[in-house]
Amino acid sequence: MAVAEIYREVVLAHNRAPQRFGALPDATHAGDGDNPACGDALHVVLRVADGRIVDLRFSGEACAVTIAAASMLGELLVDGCVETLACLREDFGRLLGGEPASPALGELAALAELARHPARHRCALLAFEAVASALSNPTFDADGSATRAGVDASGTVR
Amino acid sequence: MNAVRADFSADSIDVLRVRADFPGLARRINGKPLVYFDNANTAQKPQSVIDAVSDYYTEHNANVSRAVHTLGSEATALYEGARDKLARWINAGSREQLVLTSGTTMAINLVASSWAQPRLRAGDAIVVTTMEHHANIVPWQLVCERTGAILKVAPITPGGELIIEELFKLLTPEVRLLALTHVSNALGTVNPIAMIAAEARARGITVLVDGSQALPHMAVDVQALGVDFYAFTGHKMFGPTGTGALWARAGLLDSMPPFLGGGEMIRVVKFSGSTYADPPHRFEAGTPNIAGFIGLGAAVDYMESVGIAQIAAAERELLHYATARFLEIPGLRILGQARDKAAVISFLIDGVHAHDLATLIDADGIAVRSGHHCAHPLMQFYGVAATARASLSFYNTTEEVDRCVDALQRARKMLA
Repeated sequence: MAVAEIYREVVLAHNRAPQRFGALPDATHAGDGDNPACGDALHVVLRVADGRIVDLRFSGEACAVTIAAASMLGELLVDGCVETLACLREDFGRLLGGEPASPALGELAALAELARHPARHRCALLAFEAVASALSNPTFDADGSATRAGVDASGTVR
Repeated sequence: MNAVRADFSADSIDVLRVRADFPGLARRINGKPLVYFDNANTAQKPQSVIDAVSDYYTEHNANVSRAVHTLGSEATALYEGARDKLARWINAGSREQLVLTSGTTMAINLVASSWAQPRLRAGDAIVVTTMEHHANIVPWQLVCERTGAILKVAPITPGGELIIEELFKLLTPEVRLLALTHVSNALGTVNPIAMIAAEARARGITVLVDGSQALPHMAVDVQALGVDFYAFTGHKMFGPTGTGALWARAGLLDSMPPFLGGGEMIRVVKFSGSTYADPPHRFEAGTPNIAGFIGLGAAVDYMESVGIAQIAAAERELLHYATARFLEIPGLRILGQARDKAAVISFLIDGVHAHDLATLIDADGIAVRSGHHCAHPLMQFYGVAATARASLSFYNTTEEVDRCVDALQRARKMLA
Protein backbone atom coordinates (compact mmCIF):
# COMPACT_ATOMS: atom_id res chain seq x y z
CA MET A 1 0.00 0.00 0.00
CA ALA A 2 1.75 3.12 -1.26
CA VAL A 3 0.89 5.49 1.59
CA ALA A 4 1.93 3.05 4.29
CA GLU A 5 5.30 2.97 2.50
CA ILE A 6 5.91 6.47 3.83
CA TYR A 7 5.53 5.15 7.34
CA ARG A 8 8.04 2.36 7.10
CA GLU A 9 9.38 0.93 10.32
CA VAL A 10 12.58 3.01 10.21
CA VAL A 11 10.53 6.20 9.82
CA LEU A 12 8.20 5.23 12.67
CA ALA A 13 11.18 4.33 14.85
CA HIS A 14 12.76 7.75 14.33
CA ASN A 15 9.40 9.40 15.04
CA ARG A 16 8.92 7.45 18.29
CA ALA A 17 12.48 8.03 19.52
CA PRO A 18 13.92 10.93 17.55
CA GLN A 19 17.68 11.29 17.74
CA ARG A 20 19.24 14.53 18.96
CA PHE A 21 16.07 16.19 20.17
CA GLY A 22 16.33 18.55 23.10
CA ALA A 23 18.54 21.36 24.34
CA LEU A 24 22.21 22.07 23.60
CA PRO A 25 24.45 23.95 25.99
CA ASP A 26 27.02 26.23 24.35
CA ALA A 27 25.08 26.43 21.12
CA THR A 28 26.65 28.80 18.63
CA HIS A 29 23.82 28.95 16.09
CA ALA A 30 20.03 28.77 16.26
CA GLY A 31 17.39 28.69 13.61
CA ASP A 32 13.84 27.76 12.78
CA GLY A 33 11.82 26.18 10.07
CA ASP A 34 8.11 26.41 10.00
CA ASN A 35 5.27 25.48 7.73
CA PRO A 36 2.31 27.74 8.48
CA ALA A 37 0.22 25.69 6.08
CA CYS A 38 0.17 22.79 8.54
CA GLY A 39 1.51 24.27 11.76
CA ASP A 40 4.71 22.24 11.89
CA ALA A 41 7.62 24.07 13.49
CA LEU A 42 11.19 23.01 14.16
CA HIS A 43 13.83 24.82 16.17
CA VAL A 44 17.47 23.86 15.67
CA VAL A 45 20.53 24.72 17.71
CA LEU A 46 24.05 23.95 16.53
CA ARG A 47 27.53 24.02 17.97
CA VAL A 48 29.86 24.88 15.14
CA ALA A 49 33.64 25.01 15.37
CA ASP A 50 36.27 25.28 12.65
CA GLY A 51 33.68 24.90 9.95
CA ARG A 52 32.27 21.66 11.36
CA ILE A 53 28.92 20.97 13.01
CA VAL A 54 30.14 19.55 16.29
CA ASP A 55 26.68 18.91 17.69
CA LEU A 56 23.05 19.76 17.01
CA ARG A 57 19.65 19.44 18.62
CA PHE A 58 16.13 19.76 17.25
CA SER A 59 12.98 20.64 19.12
CA GLY A 60 9.43 21.41 18.14
CA GLU A 61 6.07 19.95 17.25
CA ALA A 62 5.63 18.38 13.89
CA CYS A 63 4.26 15.43 11.98
CA ALA A 64 5.98 12.06 11.85
CA VAL A 65 7.60 12.79 8.50
CA THR A 66 9.17 16.02 9.74
CA ILE A 67 10.36 14.52 13.01
CA ALA A 68 11.81 11.44 11.34
CA ALA A 69 13.56 13.51 8.66
CA ALA A 70 15.05 15.81 11.30
CA SER A 71 16.25 12.83 13.33
CA MET A 72 17.83 11.18 10.30
CA LEU A 73 19.36 14.42 9.04
CA GLY A 74 20.87 15.18 12.41
CA GLU A 75 22.70 11.87 12.37
CA LEU A 76 24.21 12.70 8.99
CA LEU A 77 25.26 16.25 9.86
CA VAL A 78 27.00 15.76 13.18
CA ASP A 79 30.79 15.74 12.87
CA GLY A 80 30.49 16.82 9.25
CA CYS A 81 31.49 20.08 7.66
CA VAL A 82 28.87 22.79 7.30
CA GLU A 83 28.81 22.37 3.54
CA THR A 84 27.34 18.88 3.94
CA LEU A 85 23.85 20.32 4.40
CA ALA A 86 23.73 21.77 0.91
CA CYS A 87 24.92 18.49 -0.65
CA LEU A 88 22.38 16.47 1.29
CA ARG A 89 19.65 18.93 0.38
CA GLU A 90 20.45 18.48 -3.29
CA ASP A 91 20.49 14.70 -3.00
CA PHE A 92 17.23 14.72 -1.08
CA GLY A 93 15.64 16.96 -3.68
CA ARG A 94 16.49 14.35 -6.29
CA LEU A 95 15.00 11.63 -4.12
CA LEU A 96 11.78 13.66 -3.85
CA GLY A 97 11.85 13.95 -7.62
CA GLY A 98 11.72 10.18 -7.92
CA GLU A 99 15.40 9.46 -8.53
CA PRO A 100 17.24 6.66 -6.78
CA ALA A 101 18.70 7.48 -3.36
CA SER A 102 22.33 8.52 -3.18
CA PRO A 103 24.29 6.56 -0.54
CA ALA A 104 25.08 9.84 1.23
CA LEU A 105 21.41 10.08 2.27
CA GLY A 106 21.71 7.20 4.71
CA GLU A 107 18.37 6.48 6.40
CA LEU A 108 16.75 9.46 4.66
CA ALA A 109 16.40 7.08 1.72
CA ALA A 110 13.51 5.52 3.64
CA LEU A 111 11.45 8.59 2.67
CA ALA A 112 11.64 7.76 -1.04
CA GLU A 113 7.88 7.13 -1.20
CA LEU A 114 7.37 10.87 -0.71
CA ALA A 115 8.18 11.25 -4.40
CA ARG A 116 4.56 10.18 -4.96
CA HIS A 117 3.17 12.56 -2.31
CA PRO A 118 4.14 16.14 -3.22
CA ALA A 119 1.82 17.50 -0.51
CA ARG A 120 4.22 16.09 2.10
CA HIS A 121 7.51 17.31 0.57
CA ARG A 122 7.49 20.45 2.68
CA CYS A 123 7.27 18.26 5.80
CA ALA A 124 10.49 16.43 5.02
CA LEU A 125 12.28 19.56 3.84
CA LEU A 126 11.50 21.46 7.01
CA ALA A 127 14.50 19.94 8.80
CA PHE A 128 16.83 21.12 6.04
CA GLU A 129 15.30 24.60 6.19
CA ALA A 130 15.71 24.77 9.94
CA VAL A 131 19.38 23.80 9.83
CA ALA A 132 20.03 26.24 6.98
CA SER A 133 18.35 28.95 9.02
CA ALA A 134 20.56 28.09 11.98
CA LEU A 135 23.75 28.17 9.92
CA SER A 136 22.98 31.72 8.87
CA ASN A 137 22.05 32.80 12.41
CA PRO A 138 24.97 32.78 14.78
CA THR A 139 23.85 33.42 18.32
CA PHE A 140 25.34 36.39 20.10
CA ASP A 141 26.77 36.68 23.60
CA ALA A 142 24.88 38.75 26.13
CA ASP A 143 27.20 41.71 25.57
CA GLY A 144 26.29 41.73 21.88
CA SER A 145 29.70 40.55 20.67
CA ALA A 146 29.88 38.13 17.83
CA THR A 147 29.58 34.43 18.22
CA ARG A 148 32.31 32.09 19.24
CA ALA A 149 31.87 30.37 15.92
CA GLY A 150 33.73 33.22 14.30
CA VAL A 151 31.67 34.45 11.41
CA ASP A 152 33.95 36.38 9.11
CA ALA A 153 33.20 39.64 7.37
CA SER A 154 31.55 37.92 4.43
CA GLY A 155 29.19 36.13 6.78
CA THR A 156 30.86 32.79 6.19
CA VAL A 157 30.76 30.42 9.13
CA ARG A 158 34.34 29.51 10.12
CA MET B 1 -19.44 -1.60 17.01
CA ASN B 2 -22.60 -0.37 15.31
CA ALA B 3 -24.62 0.08 18.47
CA VAL B 4 -25.31 3.70 17.65
CA ARG B 5 -27.23 3.32 14.42
CA ALA B 6 -28.74 6.33 12.73
CA ASP B 7 -32.49 6.03 12.42
CA PHE B 8 -33.61 7.90 9.34
CA SER B 9 -37.32 8.62 9.29
CA ALA B 10 -39.59 7.56 6.44
CA ASP B 11 -39.73 10.91 4.69
CA SER B 12 -36.01 11.57 4.99
CA ILE B 13 -33.48 11.50 2.21
CA ASP B 14 -32.96 8.37 0.13
CA VAL B 15 -29.19 8.50 0.50
CA LEU B 16 -28.43 5.92 -2.17
CA ARG B 17 -30.52 7.83 -4.69
CA VAL B 18 -28.92 11.18 -3.92
CA ARG B 19 -25.44 9.68 -4.04
CA ALA B 20 -26.17 8.55 -7.58
CA ASP B 21 -26.72 12.23 -8.45
CA PHE B 22 -23.08 13.03 -7.60
CA PRO B 23 -20.66 11.47 -10.09
CA GLY B 24 -17.63 12.49 -8.01
CA LEU B 25 -18.71 10.13 -5.24
CA ALA B 26 -18.12 7.14 -7.49
CA ARG B 27 -14.35 7.73 -7.54
CA ARG B 28 -12.03 5.08 -6.20
CA ILE B 29 -8.97 6.28 -4.29
CA ASN B 30 -6.04 3.91 -3.85
CA GLY B 31 -8.34 1.09 -4.92
CA LYS B 32 -11.00 1.92 -2.32
CA PRO B 33 -14.34 3.71 -2.73
CA LEU B 34 -13.94 7.40 -1.92
CA VAL B 35 -15.21 8.55 1.45
CA TYR B 36 -15.46 12.28 0.92
CA PHE B 37 -15.43 13.91 4.34
CA ASP B 38 -13.99 17.25 3.25
CA ASN B 39 -17.21 19.08 2.36
CA ALA B 40 -16.34 22.18 4.35
CA ASN B 41 -13.43 22.60 1.96
CA THR B 42 -15.56 22.16 -1.13
CA ALA B 43 -18.69 20.14 -1.92
CA GLN B 44 -19.18 17.54 -4.64
CA LYS B 45 -21.38 18.66 -7.54
CA PRO B 46 -24.56 17.01 -8.77
CA GLN B 47 -24.67 16.02 -12.44
CA SER B 48 -27.29 18.71 -13.05
CA VAL B 49 -24.78 21.39 -12.06
CA ILE B 50 -22.06 19.89 -14.24
CA ASP B 51 -24.56 19.68 -17.12
CA ALA B 52 -25.65 23.29 -16.66
CA VAL B 53 -22.04 24.48 -16.96
CA SER B 54 -21.41 22.25 -19.93
CA ASP B 55 -24.67 23.25 -21.63
CA TYR B 56 -23.76 26.91 -21.36
CA TYR B 57 -20.47 26.31 -23.15
CA THR B 58 -22.06 24.02 -25.74
CA GLU B 59 -25.32 25.77 -26.48
CA HIS B 60 -25.41 29.29 -25.07
CA ASN B 61 -21.84 30.52 -25.00
CA ALA B 62 -21.81 34.26 -25.33
CA ASN B 63 -20.97 37.18 -23.10
CA VAL B 64 -23.70 38.65 -20.93
CA SER B 65 -25.26 42.09 -21.24
CA ARG B 66 -22.98 43.05 -24.10
CA ALA B 67 -24.76 41.91 -27.24
CA VAL B 68 -28.20 42.09 -28.78
CA HIS B 69 -27.90 38.80 -30.66
CA THR B 70 -29.83 35.69 -29.70
CA LEU B 71 -26.93 33.90 -28.09
CA GLY B 72 -26.12 36.90 -25.94
CA SER B 73 -29.73 37.22 -24.85
CA GLU B 74 -29.88 33.54 -23.92
CA ALA B 75 -26.66 33.77 -21.90
CA THR B 76 -27.88 36.89 -20.13
CA ALA B 77 -31.24 35.35 -19.31
CA LEU B 78 -29.56 32.26 -17.85
CA TYR B 79 -27.04 34.28 -15.85
CA GLU B 80 -29.51 36.81 -14.47
CA GLY B 81 -31.93 33.96 -13.92
CA ALA B 82 -29.34 32.43 -11.61
CA ARG B 83 -29.16 35.69 -9.69
CA ASP B 84 -32.92 35.56 -9.24
CA LYS B 85 -32.75 31.97 -7.98
CA LEU B 86 -30.07 32.89 -5.44
CA ALA B 87 -31.99 35.97 -4.34
CA ARG B 88 -35.13 33.91 -3.75
CA TRP B 89 -33.16 31.17 -1.99
CA ILE B 90 -31.91 33.54 0.69
CA ASN B 91 -35.01 35.78 0.75
CA ALA B 92 -32.96 38.73 -0.45
CA GLY B 93 -35.92 41.03 -0.95
CA SER B 94 -34.82 42.22 -4.37
CA ARG B 95 -32.27 41.16 -6.97
CA GLU B 96 -30.61 44.58 -6.74
CA GLN B 97 -29.45 43.69 -3.24
CA LEU B 98 -27.42 40.70 -4.40
CA VAL B 99 -23.95 41.35 -5.84
CA LEU B 100 -22.43 38.32 -7.57
CA THR B 101 -18.76 37.83 -6.65
CA SER B 102 -16.03 35.22 -7.02
CA GLY B 103 -16.76 33.98 -3.52
CA THR B 104 -17.02 34.94 0.13
CA THR B 105 -13.50 36.33 0.22
CA MET B 106 -14.20 38.80 -2.56
CA ALA B 107 -17.57 39.70 -1.03
CA ILE B 108 -15.96 40.58 2.30
CA ASN B 109 -13.17 42.51 0.60
CA LEU B 110 -15.84 44.43 -1.30
CA VAL B 111 -17.44 45.55 1.97
CA ALA B 112 -14.02 46.34 3.42
CA SER B 113 -13.11 48.49 0.45
CA SER B 114 -16.39 50.16 -0.43
CA TRP B 115 -18.19 50.38 2.88
CA ALA B 116 -15.62 50.32 5.67
CA GLN B 117 -12.67 52.18 4.24
CA PRO B 118 -14.54 55.37 3.27
CA ARG B 119 -16.24 55.48 6.68
CA LEU B 120 -13.81 54.38 9.35
CA ARG B 121 -11.44 56.80 11.09
CA ALA B 122 -8.65 56.47 13.60
CA GLY B 123 -10.23 55.54 16.93
CA ASP B 124 -13.05 53.54 15.37
CA ALA B 125 -13.17 49.81 15.96
CA ILE B 126 -14.14 46.62 14.16
CA VAL B 127 -15.10 43.54 16.16
CA VAL B 128 -14.45 40.02 14.89
CA THR B 129 -14.46 36.70 16.77
CA THR B 130 -11.79 34.17 17.73
CA MET B 131 -13.35 31.55 15.48
CA GLU B 132 -13.20 33.48 12.20
CA HIS B 133 -11.75 32.19 8.95
CA HIS B 134 -8.89 34.30 7.63
CA ALA B 135 -11.23 35.76 4.99
CA ASN B 136 -13.17 37.45 7.80
CA ILE B 137 -10.06 38.68 9.62
CA VAL B 138 -7.46 39.85 7.12
CA PRO B 139 -9.64 42.28 5.11
CA TRP B 140 -10.48 44.03 8.39
CA GLN B 141 -6.82 44.13 9.39
CA LEU B 142 -6.10 45.84 6.07
CA VAL B 143 -8.88 48.37 6.77
CA CYS B 144 -7.41 49.06 10.20
CA GLU B 145 -3.93 49.55 8.75
CA ARG B 146 -5.29 52.00 6.20
CA THR B 147 -7.68 53.95 8.42
CA GLY B 148 -6.15 53.79 11.88
CA ALA B 149 -9.13 51.86 13.24
CA ILE B 150 -8.51 49.01 15.66
CA LEU B 151 -9.57 45.36 15.68
CA LYS B 152 -11.18 43.84 18.75
CA VAL B 153 -11.73 40.09 19.15
CA ALA B 154 -14.73 38.47 20.84
CA PRO B 155 -13.72 35.45 22.93
CA ILE B 156 -15.05 31.90 22.82
CA THR B 157 -15.42 29.12 25.38
CA PRO B 158 -13.23 26.01 25.25
CA GLY B 159 -16.31 24.32 23.80
CA GLY B 160 -16.14 26.69 20.85
CA GLU B 161 -19.13 28.92 21.57
CA LEU B 162 -19.16 32.72 21.62
CA ILE B 163 -19.30 34.20 25.12
CA ILE B 164 -22.25 36.45 24.42
CA GLU B 165 -21.84 38.70 27.48
CA GLU B 166 -18.18 39.33 26.57
CA LEU B 167 -19.11 39.98 22.95
CA PHE B 168 -21.70 42.55 23.97
CA LYS B 169 -19.19 44.24 26.31
CA LEU B 170 -16.99 44.80 23.26
CA LEU B 171 -19.76 46.57 21.35
CA THR B 172 -18.90 50.04 22.64
CA PRO B 173 -19.71 53.37 20.92
CA GLU B 174 -16.53 53.46 18.80
CA VAL B 175 -17.37 50.10 17.19
CA ARG B 176 -18.61 50.65 13.62
CA LEU B 177 -18.74 47.05 12.39
CA LEU B 178 -19.22 43.55 13.77
CA ALA B 179 -18.02 40.81 11.41
CA LEU B 180 -18.73 37.24 12.39
CA THR B 181 -19.29 33.80 10.97
CA HIS B 182 -22.68 32.12 10.83
CA VAL B 183 -21.14 28.64 11.07
CA SER B 184 -17.49 28.01 12.02
CA ASN B 185 -15.62 26.06 9.35
CA ALA B 186 -13.18 24.65 11.88
CA LEU B 187 -15.54 23.85 14.75
CA GLY B 188 -19.01 23.60 13.24
CA THR B 189 -20.40 26.04 15.81
CA VAL B 190 -23.61 27.75 14.68
CA ASN B 191 -23.78 31.29 16.04
CA PRO B 192 -27.10 32.88 17.10
CA ILE B 193 -26.93 35.54 14.41
CA ALA B 194 -30.43 37.02 14.74
CA MET B 195 -30.02 37.62 18.45
CA ILE B 196 -26.53 39.08 18.11
CA ALA B 197 -27.45 41.27 15.13
CA ALA B 198 -30.46 42.70 16.95
CA GLU B 199 -28.25 43.83 19.83
CA ALA B 200 -25.48 45.15 17.59
CA ARG B 201 -27.83 47.10 15.36
CA ALA B 202 -29.63 48.55 18.39
CA ARG B 203 -26.22 50.02 19.28
CA GLY B 204 -25.81 51.49 15.81
CA ILE B 205 -23.30 48.89 14.67
CA THR B 206 -23.29 47.47 11.15
CA VAL B 207 -23.25 43.67 11.02
CA LEU B 208 -21.57 41.50 8.39
CA VAL B 209 -21.97 37.73 8.43
CA ASP B 210 -19.81 35.11 6.71
CA GLY B 211 -22.35 32.53 5.59
CA SER B 212 -19.98 30.23 3.68
CA GLN B 213 -20.63 27.19 5.89
CA ALA B 214 -24.29 27.94 6.56
CA LEU B 215 -25.88 27.84 3.12
CA PRO B 216 -24.89 24.23 2.34
CA HIS B 217 -26.56 22.98 5.51
CA MET B 218 -29.53 25.10 6.57
CA ALA B 219 -32.20 27.48 5.44
CA VAL B 220 -30.93 31.07 5.47
CA ASP B 221 -33.32 34.04 5.46
CA VAL B 222 -31.10 37.12 5.37
CA GLN B 223 -33.95 39.52 6.09
CA ALA B 224 -35.10 37.50 9.09
CA LEU B 225 -31.52 37.41 10.41
CA GLY B 226 -31.59 41.19 10.52
CA VAL B 227 -28.01 41.70 9.38
CA ASP B 228 -26.58 44.36 7.09
CA PHE B 229 -24.29 42.26 4.90
CA TYR B 230 -24.31 38.52 4.27
CA ALA B 231 -21.47 36.98 2.25
CA PHE B 232 -21.44 33.45 0.90
CA THR B 233 -19.76 31.16 -1.59
CA GLY B 234 -21.09 28.83 -4.27
CA HIS B 235 -18.61 25.96 -4.33
CA LYS B 236 -19.47 24.81 -0.81
CA MET B 237 -23.16 24.67 -1.70
CA PHE B 238 -22.71 22.18 -4.55
CA GLY B 239 -22.02 24.87 -7.15
CA PRO B 240 -18.92 25.61 -9.20
CA THR B 241 -15.82 27.30 -7.81
CA GLY B 242 -15.37 31.00 -8.52
CA THR B 243 -18.93 31.90 -7.51
CA GLY B 244 -20.42 33.63 -4.52
CA ALA B 245 -22.37 36.68 -3.52
CA LEU B 246 -22.76 39.60 -1.18
CA TRP B 247 -26.26 40.42 0.02
CA ALA B 248 -26.85 43.87 1.50
CA ARG B 249 -29.73 45.44 3.35
CA ALA B 250 -31.87 47.68 1.13
CA GLY B 251 -30.23 51.05 0.49
CA LEU B 252 -26.74 50.09 1.70
CA LEU B 253 -25.21 49.37 -1.70
CA ASP B 254 -26.56 52.67 -3.06
CA SER B 255 -24.34 54.51 -0.59
CA MET B 256 -21.19 52.62 -1.56
CA PRO B 257 -18.63 53.63 -4.20
CA PRO B 258 -17.41 51.06 -6.74
CA PHE B 259 -15.00 48.30 -5.71
CA LEU B 260 -13.34 47.23 -8.96
CA GLY B 261 -13.48 49.43 -12.03
CA GLY B 262 -13.97 48.33 -15.60
CA GLY B 263 -16.69 47.25 -17.96
CA GLU B 264 -20.22 46.48 -16.80
CA MET B 265 -20.07 48.63 -13.67
CA ILE B 266 -20.26 51.91 -15.57
CA ARG B 267 -23.03 54.02 -16.98
CA VAL B 268 -21.00 56.39 -19.19
CA VAL B 269 -17.23 56.62 -19.54
CA LYS B 270 -15.58 59.91 -20.51
CA PHE B 271 -11.99 60.90 -20.02
CA SER B 272 -13.27 63.87 -18.09
CA GLY B 273 -14.96 61.50 -15.66
CA SER B 274 -17.13 58.41 -15.64
CA THR B 275 -20.45 57.59 -14.04
CA TYR B 276 -21.32 54.29 -12.50
CA ALA B 277 -24.12 51.78 -12.78
CA ASP B 278 -26.69 51.16 -10.08
CA PRO B 279 -26.22 48.24 -7.71
CA PRO B 280 -25.72 45.36 -8.07
CA HIS B 281 -23.87 45.84 -11.35
CA ARG B 282 -21.92 48.77 -9.92
CA PHE B 283 -19.92 46.13 -8.02
CA GLU B 284 -19.60 43.62 -10.85
CA ALA B 285 -16.76 44.79 -13.07
CA GLY B 286 -15.63 42.70 -16.00
CA THR B 287 -17.00 39.54 -17.52
CA PRO B 288 -18.34 37.39 -14.70
CA ASN B 289 -17.99 33.65 -14.23
CA ILE B 290 -21.07 33.16 -16.40
CA ALA B 291 -20.87 29.37 -16.59
CA GLY B 292 -20.19 29.20 -12.86
CA PHE B 293 -23.30 31.14 -11.89
CA ILE B 294 -25.52 29.22 -14.27
CA GLY B 295 -24.16 26.13 -12.51
CA LEU B 296 -24.84 27.70 -9.11
CA GLY B 297 -28.43 28.35 -10.14
CA ALA B 298 -28.70 24.65 -10.93
CA ALA B 299 -27.23 23.89 -7.48
CA VAL B 300 -30.01 25.93 -5.88
CA ASP B 301 -32.55 24.01 -7.95
CA TYR B 302 -30.99 20.76 -6.76
CA MET B 303 -31.02 21.72 -3.08
CA GLU B 304 -34.62 22.78 -3.47
CA SER B 305 -35.52 19.42 -5.01
CA VAL B 306 -33.94 17.51 -2.12
CA GLY B 307 -35.33 19.94 0.46
CA ILE B 308 -33.18 22.03 2.79
CA ALA B 309 -35.08 20.75 5.82
CA GLN B 310 -34.36 17.18 4.73
CA ILE B 311 -30.70 18.05 4.19
CA ALA B 312 -30.43 19.57 7.66
CA ALA B 313 -32.18 16.59 9.28
CA ALA B 314 -29.96 14.06 7.55
CA GLU B 315 -26.83 15.90 8.63
CA ARG B 316 -28.05 16.14 12.23
CA GLU B 317 -28.41 12.37 12.34
CA LEU B 318 -25.00 11.85 10.74
CA LEU B 319 -23.31 14.24 13.16
CA HIS B 320 -24.86 12.45 16.13
CA TYR B 321 -23.74 9.05 14.82
CA ALA B 322 -20.26 10.17 13.78
CA THR B 323 -19.58 11.97 17.06
CA ALA B 324 -20.46 8.88 19.09
CA ARG B 325 -18.34 6.60 16.90
CA PHE B 326 -15.34 8.95 16.80
CA LEU B 327 -15.36 9.19 20.60
CA GLU B 328 -14.88 5.40 20.79
CA ILE B 329 -11.31 5.91 19.57
CA PRO B 330 -8.86 5.99 22.48
CA GLY B 331 -7.07 9.33 22.82
CA LEU B 332 -9.39 11.14 20.40
CA ARG B 333 -10.73 14.52 21.43
CA ILE B 334 -13.12 16.71 19.52
CA LEU B 335 -12.51 20.45 19.34
CA GLY B 336 -15.77 22.32 19.19
CA GLN B 337 -18.66 20.82 21.07
CA ALA B 338 -21.19 23.60 20.69
CA ARG B 339 -24.78 22.75 21.51
CA ASP B 340 -25.79 24.00 18.07
CA LYS B 341 -23.34 22.83 15.44
CA ALA B 342 -23.11 21.77 11.83
CA ALA B 343 -21.82 18.33 10.81
CA VAL B 344 -18.16 19.20 11.30
CA ILE B 345 -15.87 17.18 13.56
CA SER B 346 -12.48 18.75 14.21
CA PHE B 347 -10.37 16.30 16.19
CA LEU B 348 -6.99 15.26 17.48
CA ILE B 349 -5.66 11.86 18.51
CA ASP B 350 -3.06 11.87 21.28
CA GLY B 351 0.44 11.35 20.03
CA VAL B 352 -0.54 11.47 16.36
CA HIS B 353 -0.10 14.49 14.14
CA ALA B 354 -3.09 15.48 12.05
CA HIS B 355 -1.14 15.33 8.79
CA ASP B 356 -0.01 11.78 9.42
CA LEU B 357 -3.60 10.79 10.25
CA ALA B 358 -4.96 12.34 7.11
CA THR B 359 -2.25 10.79 4.91
CA LEU B 360 -2.76 7.33 6.36
CA ILE B 361 -6.55 7.26 6.08
CA ASP B 362 -6.22 8.59 2.52
CA ALA B 363 -4.73 5.18 1.77
CA ASP B 364 -8.19 3.80 2.60
CA GLY B 365 -9.89 6.31 0.32
CA ILE B 366 -10.92 8.67 3.11
CA ALA B 367 -10.59 12.42 2.51
CA VAL B 368 -10.41 14.72 5.51
CA ARG B 369 -8.63 18.03 5.87
CA SER B 370 -5.66 18.41 8.19
CA GLY B 371 -4.06 21.67 9.15
CA HIS B 372 -5.16 24.99 10.49
CA HIS B 373 -8.29 25.31 8.33
CA CYS B 374 -7.48 28.95 7.50
CA ALA B 375 -8.02 29.79 11.15
CA HIS B 376 -4.61 30.41 12.70
CA PRO B 377 -5.97 32.44 15.66
CA LEU B 378 -8.44 29.68 16.50
CA MET B 379 -5.71 27.03 16.46
CA GLN B 380 -3.63 29.28 18.69
CA PHE B 381 -6.58 29.60 21.09
CA TYR B 382 -6.68 25.83 21.42
CA GLY B 383 -2.90 25.63 21.65
CA VAL B 384 -2.66 23.23 18.73
CA ALA B 385 -0.74 23.52 15.49
CA ALA B 386 -3.29 21.61 13.46
CA THR B 387 -6.32 19.37 13.68
CA ALA B 388 -7.93 16.81 11.40
CA ARG B 389 -11.41 17.74 10.28
CA ALA B 390 -14.18 15.50 9.00
CA SER B 391 -16.95 17.64 7.49
CA LEU B 392 -20.05 15.77 6.41
CA SER B 393 -22.81 16.42 3.93
CA PHE B 394 -26.22 14.90 3.36
CA TYR B 395 -24.80 12.47 0.79
CA ASN B 396 -22.47 10.86 3.33
CA THR B 397 -23.52 7.65 5.09
CA THR B 398 -23.12 5.90 8.41
CA GLU B 399 -21.21 3.14 6.61
CA GLU B 400 -18.69 5.76 5.53
CA VAL B 401 -18.38 6.90 9.14
CA ASP B 402 -17.70 3.28 10.14
CA ARG B 403 -14.96 2.97 7.51
CA CYS B 404 -13.40 6.22 8.68
CA VAL B 405 -13.38 5.09 12.31
CA ASP B 406 -11.76 1.78 11.35
CA ALA B 407 -9.09 3.61 9.37
CA LEU B 408 -8.44 6.03 12.22
CA GLN B 409 -8.01 3.11 14.63
CA ARG B 410 -5.45 1.53 12.30
CA ALA B 411 -3.59 4.82 11.88
CA ARG B 412 -3.52 5.37 15.62
CA LYS B 413 -2.07 1.93 16.24
CA MET B 414 0.61 2.49 13.64
CA LEU B 415 1.72 5.91 14.84
CA ALA B 416 0.98 6.29 18.53
